[in-house]
Amino acid sequence: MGFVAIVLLLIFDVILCIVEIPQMKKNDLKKEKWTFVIILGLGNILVILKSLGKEIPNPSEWVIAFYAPAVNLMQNVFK
Amino acid sequence: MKEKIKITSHQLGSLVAIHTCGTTIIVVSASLASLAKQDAWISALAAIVIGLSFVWMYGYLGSLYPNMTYIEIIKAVLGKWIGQIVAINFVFLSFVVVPQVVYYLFAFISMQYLPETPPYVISFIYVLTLCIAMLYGLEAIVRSAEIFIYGISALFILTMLLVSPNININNLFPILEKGIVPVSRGTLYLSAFITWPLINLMMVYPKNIININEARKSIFIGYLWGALLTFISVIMSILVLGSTIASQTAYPTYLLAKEVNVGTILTRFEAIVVAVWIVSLFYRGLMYFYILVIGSSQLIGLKDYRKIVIPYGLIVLVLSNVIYRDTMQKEAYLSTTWVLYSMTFSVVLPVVLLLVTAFKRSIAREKENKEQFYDDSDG
Repeated sequence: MGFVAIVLLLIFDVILCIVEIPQMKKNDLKKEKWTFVIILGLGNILVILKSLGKEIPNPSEWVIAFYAPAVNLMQNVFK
Repeated sequence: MKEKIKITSHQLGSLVAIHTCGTTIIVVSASLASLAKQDAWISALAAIVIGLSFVWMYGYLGSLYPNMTYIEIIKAVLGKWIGQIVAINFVFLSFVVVPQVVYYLFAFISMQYLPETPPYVISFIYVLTLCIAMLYGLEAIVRSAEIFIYGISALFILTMLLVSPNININNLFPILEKGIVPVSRGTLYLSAFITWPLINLMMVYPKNIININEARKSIFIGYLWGALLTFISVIMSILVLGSTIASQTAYPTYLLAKEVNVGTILTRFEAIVVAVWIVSLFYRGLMYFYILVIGSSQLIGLKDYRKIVIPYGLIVLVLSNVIYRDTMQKEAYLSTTWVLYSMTFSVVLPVVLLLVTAFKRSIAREKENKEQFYDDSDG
């Protein structure tokens, strides 16, 4: 199952790059090209980690950890 | 961005209304009923009335800086470095929320309708729709909102009218049994869902608006309309189901629509409520996705935001399944952390922006006066 997901991802990447990158080169959008590549790379890393069954960093847990003291305070106020 | 998109105030009002009742119609009334019990409707009323002041504040802040989005306002007021950091955090909020909104949808669909479908299939369809809507741009989004708001209001109110024979007025009593504290807790909770997320509209409101005074009025009307739909869903689930059942089921409004039974012909209205909910939730998710894409392209300084829509969609798709570990974590997050997280960016930040603006303008005025004074003394 994980292998199929990775193959599908690679096909998706290739098609997306073939469609998008020549356009960006033609219109001289350098910043766009780099942002596109970086975000797509991040997405790829996440998909591969997930399909190999690894733990993915979870942004909402960062938020929970950051707001933990304030949450405690709020729960004390509204007891 | 090259092309300048302008939207009418009616379109903005519909977007506000559909955004206000977004997540609230089906999900919120359960948690609200468990926080405030039978007084949930007092909480809702208080949240709506207090919310008017926040809506006024957003309107006022926008009118001070026409032709700017919220990101640009933050950068203009707080300066280059601090502004950039705060704006990155604001975009990060949407980065966290978009997968969560996708999660609500597929959690509901896979629990009630498609229990054996892999969750990624459901969230893939939703994320694909988000990407298509973003690629079409703001104009298509607001025009479709303008059409959908009539449809969802009519269907929702029709369902609520049909269920009204089952009302039991005794479910509302005793009023204020446990005092004011649970009610204020419920007010805070509901504000984080209906009022404070309106800060998202600050990405559209001053910049893409033709007539700002008219737009401020239509924001109020749209807010009141969305809030009315929310209030109806909260009070009806208390009146028909009672606070105990409403707090124990995950989706009270859905259960409410199952109660509809008019002469055994008109039954099973829950699919209509689900349709209403999916459409309004779509706009809620779309506005966060809009902030994520437009906000990050403004932060980096991109000319064409369309290029980064699909890569972001991929990330959102993957994160949608891992953003909450389980339902317990979701409930805990929504009732505590989200209230404070939302408050940081939609209460604290606008107040700070307004204070800094007032301070800057008074300094500028003083300088002007001094210069005038010196000019006068020279002459």
